[in-house]
Amino acid sequence: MQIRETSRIESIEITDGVLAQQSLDGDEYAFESLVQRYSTQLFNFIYRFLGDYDQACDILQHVFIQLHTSLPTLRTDKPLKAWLFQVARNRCLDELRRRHAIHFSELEAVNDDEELSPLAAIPDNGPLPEELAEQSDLQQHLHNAIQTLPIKFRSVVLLRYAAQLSFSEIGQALNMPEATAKTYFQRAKPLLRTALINQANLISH
Amino acid sequence: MQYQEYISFLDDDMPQDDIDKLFSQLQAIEPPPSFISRVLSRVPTTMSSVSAASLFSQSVEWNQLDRWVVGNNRRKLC
Repeated sequence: MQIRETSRIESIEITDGVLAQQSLDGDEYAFESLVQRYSTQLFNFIYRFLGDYDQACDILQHVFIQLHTSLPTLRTDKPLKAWLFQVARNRCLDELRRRHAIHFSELEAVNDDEELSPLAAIPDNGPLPEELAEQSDLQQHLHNAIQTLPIKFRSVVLLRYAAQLSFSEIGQALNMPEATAKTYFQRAKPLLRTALINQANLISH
Repeated sequence: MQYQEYISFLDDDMPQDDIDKLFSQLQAIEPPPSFISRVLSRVPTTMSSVSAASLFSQSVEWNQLDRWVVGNNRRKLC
């Protein structure tokens, strides 16, 4: 654990921009540092988005290869971290489209004042069943609940819970204002609660 | 598949509710230990930055990138 912490601090001292420039200059260790820095966060986001471990590995490879090939022309007005998650999300959406798991209408932007579908708009503010947190298959319940979310909410929730991004970073990754990211997140929560309660009810019956 | 506990959770000041607390238990999943070396072996390292710049100043399509990715399906066949 101590070694891990030390290496993390050392790698944080060098900014993404410096590592990117060093990579461009042919420093393979710099590129490796970028891969190490973002592998786990990106992998968790992709895996939770698609639910397939092997496919997540493939897509993460795509993301880093695109990073490597895009370095010479990468825009500097956006943080590299946000760019990486944007590429990862786009790649996940491509995969879901390929599986016919989503429709294009799901990806359309939603105005802040737009209403959710009647089902999604029903708030469920009831308490979560206590036994849910104690169950050994909690991980599966959490994963399943996220999978029930509409794509636009799933992206925000996964960037928050699986990738641990701040709302500012989520906004940058999804090309939306930070306030919109927060709004989507808050709208997703009742849906998560409902999904978790439904799962608990299924188990108890 | 490897799991790892998150060391810390969210860093900004939005108040946390029971849903946040529950999802803070979502475990991190690690890519395979060989992943980084696999990526590094697939990136076109022999290209100079100049030639890469000229090549990728054009739009890069995903299917052009596919040839550098070893898919899991193909790996299973090997």
